[in-house]
Amino acid sequence: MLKKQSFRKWVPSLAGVLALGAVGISVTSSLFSDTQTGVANTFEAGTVEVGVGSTTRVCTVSDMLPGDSSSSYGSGSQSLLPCVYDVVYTGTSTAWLAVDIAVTGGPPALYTGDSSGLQLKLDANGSTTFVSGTSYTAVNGSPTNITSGSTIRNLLVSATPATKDTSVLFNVNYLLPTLAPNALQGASASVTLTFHAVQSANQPIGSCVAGRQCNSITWS
Amino acid sequence: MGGTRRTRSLIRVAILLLLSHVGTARVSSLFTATDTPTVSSFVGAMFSPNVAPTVQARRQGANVELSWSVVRLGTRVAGYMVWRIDGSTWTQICLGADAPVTTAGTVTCRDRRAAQGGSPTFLYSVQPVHMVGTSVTWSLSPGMPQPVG
Repeated sequence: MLKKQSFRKWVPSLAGVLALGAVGISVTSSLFSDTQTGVANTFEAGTVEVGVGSTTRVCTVSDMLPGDSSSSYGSGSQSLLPCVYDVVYTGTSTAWLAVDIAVTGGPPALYTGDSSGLQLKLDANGSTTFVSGTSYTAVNGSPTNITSGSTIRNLLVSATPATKDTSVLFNVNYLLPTLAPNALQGASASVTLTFHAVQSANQPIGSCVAGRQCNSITWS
Repeated sequence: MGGTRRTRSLIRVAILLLLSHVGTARVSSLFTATDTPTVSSFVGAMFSPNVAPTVQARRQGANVELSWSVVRLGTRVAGYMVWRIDGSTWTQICLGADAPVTTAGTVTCRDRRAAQGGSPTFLYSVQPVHMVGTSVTWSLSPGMPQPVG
């Protein structure tokens, strides 16, 4: 009887002790602590962007006569303005730059692909020459004729990759030679230049040379 | 049994989606950019009109005065070769100080050695040309030879 009574007395006390213990544990676990959040690692892809700047002058040359030429052709009247393309590379990744050229026209075609029709000179910054007369430089360094209607692709602009805000001035100078026959009266030609860029990272230049066609780079 | 089939089908679809995604990643593995500016164009000039004019020849004293309509070559005025035709001999005239002069759409020049006694029996013709230096590049065929009127 006595044992039962004393157990009943102890039960609340025991519960109280356990409750206090729990509080104690709780207090024990509230340690001073601090967490420092490190700067997040970010992985941002670079960009490859190419555009045409404000000083670009696309040519619309009408009424050409034999002997007419633009200022830097080197022969002829040198009285006309050259076509100028101010190409700006604005990507954040370094990149290879190239230019494609296509000559079309006619009928009758002012560009004949020989010395009697329209002659062209395409250069970058007045130094790297891509087209002279009617030919470009192939991968192996040999002058190769540009035929009307075909596109010459991937003429490498520089052996050094372009960085952000690199500007390249492409000049197209032209001449209608005095050899031009009467059949070219009223004839027409169009020159289309396409500028493109591809990342240079993980893309070795191989044996490519500036001014020549370059096929060892994967351009697209 | 049906549940197992459904599960297998779902796994197949998931694998196909995964493979197609891998394929896409390979295609776009290089960063590239292209810009094509407007095309540049070049057009050759044309004679206007595209046939040589008929020359008018009139005797004036010992000379023969020649006149014809202006011919243009694009936005520029054409040059002219003026011919005195004696039988089968074509002689170029109106050279140097006697070169053709253009006045308000009409071109004139003078053949000073036409009438050397008697009435000239020559014919005259004009040929529009474009010259570079002393060389003729583009030209029209000479006009129909005309007698002195």
